[in-house]
Amino acid sequence: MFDEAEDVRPWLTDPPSVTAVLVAHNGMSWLPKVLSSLGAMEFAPTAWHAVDVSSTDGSGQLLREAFGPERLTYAPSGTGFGAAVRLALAEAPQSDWIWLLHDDSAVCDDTLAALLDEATSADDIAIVGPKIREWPSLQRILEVGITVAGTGARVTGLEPGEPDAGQHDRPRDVLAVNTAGMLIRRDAWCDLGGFDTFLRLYCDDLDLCWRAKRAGYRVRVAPMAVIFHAEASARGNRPVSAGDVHGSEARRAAMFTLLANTSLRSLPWLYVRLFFGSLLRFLGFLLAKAPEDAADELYAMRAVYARPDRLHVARVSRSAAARSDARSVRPLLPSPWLPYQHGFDSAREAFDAVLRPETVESGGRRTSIRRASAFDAEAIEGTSSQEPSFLVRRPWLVTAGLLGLLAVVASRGLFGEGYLSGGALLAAPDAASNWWTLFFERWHDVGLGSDATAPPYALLLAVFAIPVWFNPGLLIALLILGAVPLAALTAHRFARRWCANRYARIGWAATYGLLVVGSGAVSQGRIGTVVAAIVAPIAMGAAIDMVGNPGWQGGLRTGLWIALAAAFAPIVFLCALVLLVGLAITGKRQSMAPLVLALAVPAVLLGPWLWSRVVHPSRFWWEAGWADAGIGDTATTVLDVALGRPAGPGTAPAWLHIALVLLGLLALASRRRTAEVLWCWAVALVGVAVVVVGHTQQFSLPGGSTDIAVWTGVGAIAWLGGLAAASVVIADDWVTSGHVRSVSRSTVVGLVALALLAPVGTGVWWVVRGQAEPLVRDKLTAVPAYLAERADQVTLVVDGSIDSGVGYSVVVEEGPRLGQEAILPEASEARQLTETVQSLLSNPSEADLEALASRGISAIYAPADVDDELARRLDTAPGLAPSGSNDPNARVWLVKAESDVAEPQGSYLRWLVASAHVLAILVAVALTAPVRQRRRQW
Amino acid sequence: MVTAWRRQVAVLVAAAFLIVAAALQQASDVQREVGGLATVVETVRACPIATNKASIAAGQLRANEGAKSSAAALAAEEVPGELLAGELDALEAPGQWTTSAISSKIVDAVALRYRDDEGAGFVAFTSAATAKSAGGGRAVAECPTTEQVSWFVGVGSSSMHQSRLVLTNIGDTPAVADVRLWSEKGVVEVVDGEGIVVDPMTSRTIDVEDLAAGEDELAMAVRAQRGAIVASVYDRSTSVFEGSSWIPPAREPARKFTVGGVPAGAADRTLIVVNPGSTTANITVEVIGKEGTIAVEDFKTLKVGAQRIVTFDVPASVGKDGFGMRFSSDQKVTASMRISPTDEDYAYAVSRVAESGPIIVPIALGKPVDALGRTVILTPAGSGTNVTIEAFDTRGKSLGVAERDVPIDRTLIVDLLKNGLFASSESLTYVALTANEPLHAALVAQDDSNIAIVPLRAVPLTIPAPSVTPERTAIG
Repeated sequence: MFDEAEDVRPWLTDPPSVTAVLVAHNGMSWLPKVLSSLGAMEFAPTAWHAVDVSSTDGSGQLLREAFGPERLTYAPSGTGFGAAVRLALAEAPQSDWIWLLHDDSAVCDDTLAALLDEATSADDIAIVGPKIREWPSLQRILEVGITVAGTGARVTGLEPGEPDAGQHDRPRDVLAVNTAGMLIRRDAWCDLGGFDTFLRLYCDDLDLCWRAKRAGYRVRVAPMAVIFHAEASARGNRPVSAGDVHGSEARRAAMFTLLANTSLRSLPWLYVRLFFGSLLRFLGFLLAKAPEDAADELYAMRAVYARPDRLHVARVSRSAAARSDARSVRPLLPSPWLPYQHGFDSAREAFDAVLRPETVESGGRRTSIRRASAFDAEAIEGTSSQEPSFLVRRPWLVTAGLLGLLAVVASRGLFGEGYLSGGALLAAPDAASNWWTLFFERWHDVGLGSDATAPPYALLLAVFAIPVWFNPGLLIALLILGAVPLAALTAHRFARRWCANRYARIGWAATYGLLVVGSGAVSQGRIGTVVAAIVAPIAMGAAIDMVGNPGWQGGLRTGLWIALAAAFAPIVFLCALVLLVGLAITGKRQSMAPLVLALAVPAVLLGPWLWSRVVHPSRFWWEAGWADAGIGDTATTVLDVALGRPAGPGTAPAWLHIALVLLGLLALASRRRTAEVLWCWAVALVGVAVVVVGHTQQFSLPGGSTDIAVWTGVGAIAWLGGLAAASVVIADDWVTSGHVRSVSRSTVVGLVALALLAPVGTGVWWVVRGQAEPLVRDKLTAVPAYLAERADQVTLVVDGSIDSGVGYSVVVEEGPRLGQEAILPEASEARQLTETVQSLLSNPSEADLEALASRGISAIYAPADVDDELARRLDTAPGLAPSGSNDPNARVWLVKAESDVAEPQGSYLRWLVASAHVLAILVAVALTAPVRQRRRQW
Repeated sequence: MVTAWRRQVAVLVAAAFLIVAAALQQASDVQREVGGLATVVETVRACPIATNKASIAAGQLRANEGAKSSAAALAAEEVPGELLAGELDALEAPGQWTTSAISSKIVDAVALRYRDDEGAGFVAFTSAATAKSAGGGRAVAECPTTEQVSWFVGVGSSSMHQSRLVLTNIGDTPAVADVRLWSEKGVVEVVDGEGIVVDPMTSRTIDVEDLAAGEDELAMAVRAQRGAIVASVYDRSTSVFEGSSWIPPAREPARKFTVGGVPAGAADRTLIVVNPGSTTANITVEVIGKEGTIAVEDFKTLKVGAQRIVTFDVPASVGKDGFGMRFSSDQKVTASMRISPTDEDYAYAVSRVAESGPIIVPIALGKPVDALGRTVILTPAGSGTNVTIEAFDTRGKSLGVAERDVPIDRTLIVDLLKNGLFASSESLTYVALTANEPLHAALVAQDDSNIAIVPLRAVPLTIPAPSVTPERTAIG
């Protein structure tokens, strides 16, 4: 009884006249169902009129058959939605209301009735829109009214992929409703002048409703009226034909609508914000491999900002028609923080996609959505004692979380105040701007000064440190202290390509991650090896894609990843060279060009930094950070080499790796998935070759350390990682093929125990030992604080003894930061300074001090436990004044000679080269873009 | 089949890599570069002035164009510029041997700075005649330069003899020195012995009795804590014997060393040994005489308690000829020998590091000791050697060359003023010794009443330079 009473519609006593206008353009895919739904309405419009905008797919014919020729208007190509509606209304009879329909939007039987329920509920309501659900899913809500953010983003207020459970079924005032299903009062339409024809396809609804609001009308959403919208234009599903709008139209329309309708007070800020915001979006699209979107952004900017006259005219006309204050719209606009919340959500989704890729699938234009799972069902329906444990349901999530937790525990003592440094790692600069400066500056005021090319990893660090601009040490701490979980994450993602069994995959990923810390790379601060180990699985994945689907973009992408890894650890380039040549020999003929491209890209992007290593091959061993980590004894045995144990502190016991070698050999003996096993072995052999060659070599730096023992961490990780992968390939095959059931249980248990020895043993060792030493978190102690605080002052630091040899370094202010260590002085400069220091420590004279002063050196510092004889010789030097030190066992002398050094400026060419370098990287990134095509919706 | 072949190749390649690693492991040992020799381009010496009848002699092994020298008088306070201007000017004559009498009562030392980019080998000596009222005798010493630790053995602060320490700061910043003393009873508690400050370009004289009074025999170690400090010790008799002498700095304690330059004819020879270590030292003594090793039954082994100084009278059975004395100890010790040929003067022979030269032996030392003879006593260190002795005049012109063999078990005594040794002895100013093996050399200036012994060192042409390498990339 109550239902019947509520169903009574007051307006039925005097039904208002409604003219429905259907605009179609190549909508044959949806029109039959749309027309069918229109025919089933319980309350139909009093008049119909359709407009076919130059369809080429038969839509026009269908409309003609459905409505008759007298109710059909043909519009030329390029006619916008607003113009088409105008054409239709010119032909249609007068009515109280106009109902706008798309050719890709189907209605329910009571859609129009529900709209009229709301429309007639108050006199000032001029526009009413339905709740729009996604077609064909029919369940997800697309819109229940819309508004617009300050960035121009269309805001629905809905969660991505949100299902319709009636949670938004309360009618309310909104800023705007979609043109699909929009019901507008005829007099208001005439009063507002209809759609702005300058907005041909996008934002015409927002603009019209915004103007209506300013004119004193109300815009309402009627959630009980439901329409199903395929969003064919936005999703790019509509066949393209001549006259269609350019891809940049959506963004242009958004910017134009926002600027044309916003209040005068907000206009200056919004004008500037949109400009710079668009530039940032442009860069973001490039980084997100969406060059078409990036180009659209530029086109849209040009269209809006190059024609201020159009904007002026639009604002004048809107101002003239306005009857209410601009502030009346403000409650209908979203929070200013909303775009940033969306950015955070996007980042969270991206992380989620990396962490749990198997749980994420594309959710259409809106976003990725999380697949409904047993866990979700449990949350909705209540707990069930029959559900498997969380470990069983989310083994990788648990493993990754556990590795992260262990990393935190193992990093005890490495959090807090001070700088993370030690071993090969230098302290990070105080701001990301220092890395940018380092890369672009013409003259590096580092040590003796140099105009050398900055290392490319400084640029990469500068880019990745943008989110932590004022504390880039966080980025370094994340990379170093989080090396294990990060490497495991990329390894797990890579393993999805060749390992179907999730447990085998997880085991390999965890083993790989732990190999990084077991190699000593973390404790020794080998940031080059750490980054290379994190990136290597991604690069290998890209290479596999390239071989499977040969194309220049695959080659470019592979080359980019190789370049990223090689920027931090150049030896990766040689490893990649060998492996890619192997691929070229064994692969398809059409793979040749992409393979060459994959090698050429790092050569171009890394520029002189890589070329200098071709000239001086020994420098391939020099990774990011100190070449000489100062870790003392670096002797290794053949057993260490065989078991993948590099030299230095913080390396896991070699015996932990015995199992990996044995399993790798066993995998080689198997006759299953031979090709994959051989490729794993190829990677391993390249790794062991690196270890062996490095084991027998030393290298020197011009003007720097000599006889530097080679660090072979990259090779060791590749060697053991490859062997582990070979064994996992066989394990995966045994499980997926069911072969494991034919093997005795004891054998399986034994093999699993053997396989777990390395990850479990290394994990226990890792947590017990920790990641510190020589890695520490401490203050900068290169020179005493009072020396460091002297602006632009240079200190000569001498250490060692007269008998056993003296080492020296030149420290500007408080010492070098990460990236600066790669700035090598001119060999001749270093040689001259070495001679001066030797003379100073042999037979000091005023000439020596003058030579030091001429290089800007104003102090000499001998750290604690200074050699007596060394101190005596400096004490006797004329022109040196002893000074106080922070440590009673250390000594400081100030150079009395005046330092009148004009700092060199370097060449402008350096700046140009750096800019070209950045441009080349941007272009390379942009060229890999086809991964994402133009986003139709904004 | 092909796949199986590939599998075998993979294993073989891995094995081959490991074999290569094993084979090349030896080659990976790090060879560190050692430092070379640096030319001594600048030398600063502090010549202490013992009395107001002093003289300074200075010269160089070879004269080079562009050499520069300067002299400055130093005292406890700043010395007026006009004081000794003429005497100092006389010393500022690079390229030739110069002598200058220093007659001031307030000057404690003269600092001589010599610079020659090609390395000249600059030496200087100070000599003095002491008035009878002050002990009498003659004193000659090489003008020292800075040392980290200077050892003086045979210092006294008793009624027998009194010593005074002269600390000279030849740098332009304040210098700080510490003094330690050992007596026959052990380590001496030194009053204000640490942190002795000497202002830039000043000299400070400290009577040893102010540091430790009433000690007949002391060993002193002066450690330069800060700055360019030079230490000298002047000793004069009070009652038991007469005379005066600079106590030459001895070498740092060692297990094997030689005290050379003991002249002939000495009646009173006292060996003074200090053992600064914490264990008693058992020392074996070998006397190297003119004719060979001298066997002295009751002087073969000596014992010196920990942190003590002990004196030994050298038995008469050693003979009256000159000799050198080799020591071999199970602990690090150092020694000197006080020699008193007459009742009117005495001198010290000390343990020094053996060197092969060139060694400059000064003949022209100045008025206080011009009348004394000039004998050089050579004792080989580890093996026999051949010595070239070349004489020069004031301007460095060679006056003739003599050669002598010094067998391992002999001490060679050469009278440098003996006629016929060189082609010409006219205007003989200095002699240069060059040996093909290290030896100990000492100049003995002696007459019937006075004696002065100057242990000689090689001229500083080069200095062992430390191996200096940039650390990492030379930027900290």
